[in-house]
Formats: sequence, C-alpha cells, structure tokens
Amino acid sequence: MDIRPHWQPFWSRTLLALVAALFATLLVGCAAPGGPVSLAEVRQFADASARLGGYAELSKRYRDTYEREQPYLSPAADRIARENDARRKAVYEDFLSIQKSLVLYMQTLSVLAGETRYDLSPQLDDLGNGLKANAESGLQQRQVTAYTGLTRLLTRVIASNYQNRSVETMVRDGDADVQVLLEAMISLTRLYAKTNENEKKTILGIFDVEIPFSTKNSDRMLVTLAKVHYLSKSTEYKLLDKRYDLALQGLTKVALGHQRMRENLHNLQAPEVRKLLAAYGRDLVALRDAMSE
Amino acid sequence: MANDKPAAQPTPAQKTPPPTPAEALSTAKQVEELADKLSACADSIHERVMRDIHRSQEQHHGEVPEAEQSVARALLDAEVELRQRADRLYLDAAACIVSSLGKPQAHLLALTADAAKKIQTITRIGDGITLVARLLGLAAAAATGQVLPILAAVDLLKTQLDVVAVHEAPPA
Repeated sequence: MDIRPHWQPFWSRTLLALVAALFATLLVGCAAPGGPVSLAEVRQFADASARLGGYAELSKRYRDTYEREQPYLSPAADRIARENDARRKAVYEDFLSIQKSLVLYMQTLSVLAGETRYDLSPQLDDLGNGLKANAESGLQQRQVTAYTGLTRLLTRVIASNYQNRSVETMVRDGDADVQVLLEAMISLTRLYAKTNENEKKTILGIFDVEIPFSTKNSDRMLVTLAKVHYLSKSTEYKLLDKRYDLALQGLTKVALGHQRMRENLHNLQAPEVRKLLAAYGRDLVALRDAMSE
Repeated sequence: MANDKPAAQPTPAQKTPPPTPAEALSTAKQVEELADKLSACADSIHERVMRDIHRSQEQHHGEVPEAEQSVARALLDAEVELRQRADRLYLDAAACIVSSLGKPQAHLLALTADAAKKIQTITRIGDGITLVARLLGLAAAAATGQVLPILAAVDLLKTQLDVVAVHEAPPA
C-alpha cells in the first residue's frame, strides 16, 4: 500500500537541512581536531591507581596493633597501649576516607577517559541508513555518503574534543589535591611502618631476654616453644616489611603519574607521554599483584 | 550560696581552624622526629641489656644471676614503655596530618561530581545523535510509503526515546 504523500521529498530535504544546522551549532566553539582520539593510557593509569591495594590493608593492620601487642606488654606499658588503641580506632575512619576520595576520583577519571562510551560510529551508521538514497527522497547516493562521512568526522570532533577538554579540566583542577592526599597517605604509611617496627621489637625483645634466662632442664620445653614462636614471628615481620615498601612504591608511582599528566595536559596524545603513562599503569598493576601474593 | 549565682554558661570552646596540609605535615614531621628519638632510645636500651646478658653469661658459665635478671627485666619494661610512648607520638603525627585534609577531600569530591555530570552530557550527545538517526529513519520509511518499514522505524524511535529517558533519569 502506498500511503506516501506528494510533499514527501521536500520533507526529507528539510529535515536534512535541519540536521546539518544542528551539527553546525554543535561545532561552534570546538577547536580543530588532531588525529584520532585515544585516552586509553590515561584510562588504564587511572584504573590501576584506583585498584592499588596496600594502604587500606595497612591502615587496618595499624588499627589492630594493640590486639597483637597486648600479650607481650607489662602493666605500665599496657596502660599507655590501651589509650593508643582507643585513639587509633577513633581516627581509623578518617584514614580510610582519604583513600576513598582518591579512589572515587581515579575511577571517575578512568570512565571519563574511556573509549567505548564515546565511539559514536554505530549511531552514525544509523544516520546513514536513515538517509538512504532513493529516488523519492530526492537524495543521491554520493550525497548521502558525503554527508555521513562529514557527520562522522564532525561528531568525532565534537565528542572527542569535549571528552579531551573534560579530562584536561579534571586532571588540571584535581592535581593539587591529588598530590596533597597522596603525600598524606605516604606519610601515614611511613608512620604505620614505624609503629610496626616498634611492635616487632616489643614482641621479639621479650624472647631475646627471657630465653637466655631459662637454663634449667625443666625449662627445656618452654625454651623450645619460645624459639619456634620467635622464628615464626621473625619471618612474619620480614614479609610485612616488604608490604610497607610495596605500598609506598605504589603511592609514589600514582603521584608521579598524575604529575606527569598535569605537566603534559595539552600533549596527552603524544606518543612519548602515552608510553610513559602506559609504563606507570603496568608498574602499578605489577605492584598490586605483588601485594596480593 | 549556690542559688544566688546564675548557672555558669560554659563558654563554647574556641574552634581553631584546621591546619593547612603543609602546616600539618611540618608539625607532624617534628612530632615524628621526636618519636624516632624515643624509638632509638628504646633500641639502645635493648642493645645495652643484650650486652649485659652476654657479659653475664661469659662470667657465669652461661648463666645469669637472679639479681642481674631482675635488672635486665626492669630495663626491658622501660624499653617497652618507651616504645609505647613513641607509638603515641606517631599516632599524634598521623592524627595531625589527617585533620588538615578536610578541604582537599571536599574539593576533590566536588571535582569528581562535575566530571560525572560531564560523562552524562557526553552520553546525551550520543543519545541525541541516535535520536536524530531514528527520526531520519522514520522520515525515510515514510518516504517509501510502505507500512512495514514505517512500523519498524517507529519501533526503533520508541526504543531510543526509552534509552534517553533511562540516561536522563536521576541516579537511584
């Protein structure tokens, strides 16, 4: 059944003109594009930064210091230790919230720099299909092809420029605070490590002193148990020392990477910048894997 | 007389503004250095105790007399207490650092919220183009005058309008 009204070709051409006008207005204010957009390295770096472990786990370990130390403390030391414990538990949430703010920022940056969302090709294919040349619509094939080609280019310009500028804004405006938070986390991790060191020396110290004192034959089993416990604790703390190191390395790398992005804001597409960011991203993933062993 | 005096109003504690991150870090660093010294003191006490024990063992065929054991234990207690005091200072430094981070965190969260809005906008651009495409599809279908293509195009348009509505909806 042919229900086509006689004014159909005019209607199609008018619509086409309207769409062209729409894109023209969207173009206003957009700078001329560079090559194809790829913020993939920014995305990967932000993603790896968001997932870096270490700090959260070490914060929790710091909070629970008293539970581990308690059996080894004299009554006088225990009094002080209990005060410390209460205070640590009070500040713990603050320690965590720093990391949460940073993770949220990195996750958002990662999405903002993401690829799939801004690949508008499927929609443009639709546009082409919508403009199928046929005699009735008055459009010729070459006009449709030219039109969709131009639209594809323009849309990539619009979306990628908006995306580019959004990423730039976020990195530029966020860098100072990101560095402040990371520096705080690095300092805190160092304080955790030093407290851990005191914990280790408190626990091992008792055995250093008491084992030489237990020389009676009847002490033999006790001494053996003590030596075994000492060895196991020694090993445990050696492994933990590594985790503090890895955590510090990771945080430093995130800080450096974000700083590089800030320094290279107008250059994020340049191959050397992308390579650098990619390297940071890979290092962060490796650190995370090392910490989850 | 207690009834004569009006109940003393507690003066509200003067709220000192939180330190800037830089100030906090500087203060924290000083506190940390003090704590380091206490920890180092504890370390040297421990070294001293171990030296005394070894010397005692040499002098007494591997034994340590009771009197010297008591001394060593007392020193050990002092060492442990010193470490706890150092830990208290480390904790003070940590709390000081954290107290300065309110503003930077708030700023970062605001920035993140802005970025989330931009992500929405970019999604809308994509939705907008798809919407135009569907409209054109409808126009083209209408041009054919055939019922089936028209119905298909209307269907696609309705789907796209739903997609737009979902993207526009405020987050749950």
